[in-house]
Amino acid sequence: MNKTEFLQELEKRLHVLNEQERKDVLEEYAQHINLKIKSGLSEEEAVRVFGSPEELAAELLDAYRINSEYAAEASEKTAEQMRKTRKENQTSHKVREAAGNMAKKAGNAAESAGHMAGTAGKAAVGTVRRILLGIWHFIRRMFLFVRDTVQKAAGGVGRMFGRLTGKHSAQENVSGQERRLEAGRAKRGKGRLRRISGGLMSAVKFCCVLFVRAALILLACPVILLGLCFLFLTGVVLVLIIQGYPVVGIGVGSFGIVLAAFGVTGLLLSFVFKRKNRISGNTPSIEG
Amino acid sequence: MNPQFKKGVLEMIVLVAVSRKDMYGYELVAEVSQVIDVNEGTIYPLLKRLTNEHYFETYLRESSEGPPRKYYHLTAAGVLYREQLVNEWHGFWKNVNDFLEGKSDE
Repeated sequence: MNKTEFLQELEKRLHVLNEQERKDVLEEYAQHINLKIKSGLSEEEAVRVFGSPEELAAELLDAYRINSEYAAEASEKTAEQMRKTRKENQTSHKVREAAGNMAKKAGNAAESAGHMAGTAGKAAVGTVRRILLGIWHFIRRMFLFVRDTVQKAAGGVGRMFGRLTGKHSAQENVSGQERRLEAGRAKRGKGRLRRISGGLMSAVKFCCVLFVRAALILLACPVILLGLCFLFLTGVVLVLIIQGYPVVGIGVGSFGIVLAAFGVTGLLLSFVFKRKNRISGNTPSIEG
Repeated sequence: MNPQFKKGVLEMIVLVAVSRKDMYGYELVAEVSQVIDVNEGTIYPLLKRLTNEHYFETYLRESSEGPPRKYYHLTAAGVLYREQLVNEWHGFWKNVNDFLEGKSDE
């Protein structure tokens, strides 16, 4: 058998492969035969080293896990008609393309699901944030109520103090003016007390603020670390995907976790920074 | 030479050869033939299988003496697989050898 015959026989049996792959294989073997000829063998001898084309084709198809009997039948049919051959190529092409498209669609669906999960996650974060803000407002209202009550109590104490020390009538019937004067004096009397209580309140408030802020930042740290870890994982998986490993799903999942982690971090940190603004805005009103 | 012996170690020898140096088909056949007797009919399908299983990756390199040649290169997965085969071989070889030495002591 000479080189051309051998390669033709081989090609016939490899029709089940796609055109590029078949071409690659045949080129490699042609090259090998040529090199063997160059090193001194005759064409016949060079071809013989491969064994029979049937066996070689069978072994090759085994590498693709293709049933060689199927391949033999197929190639017998196609050997006669060129058109049938092209159709088979197109079919396997189409099958491969369809499989590839389905895989791509699945990948896209997974990606859009991941995106939706990300947006849903962000929306969820938004709702959570609203809920937390509501709770925060409620706490503030409670705090203000408590503070007012304390101040009123302090005022009451101050008034009693004023009554004991200041000039006032022991009579029950006190004129409105006197009462007002009294109230004014009581206010001044209780002013110092009020200042002390006010100072105490703001000190306590400052401590609470600091504590909560520290807690939030402390909480945000592991979440940031988690986000960074999964960012790294996403990068690694991306490289693997480019290399051809089927890890698209893991990539989408880890990317989603990255988004969620950074979303939670943003949420927590927004409380920290938002609170700062609020405080600077409120301080004058507290003192006033 | 027992063909079963050859078949068993061929994969390992091919992987080790390529891990030392990227080679194209003809070169690899020559290299492996120095160790055990192989024919192209066995080597090329083996190379194809190992490439399809992502233990090898291939690239074309221009050659001064003709068309570009397809070179085989060991991937990370290939390195791991090679290690596994080499370890198995060492264990196997040791057991068999110990058994043989034991026999000759008698």
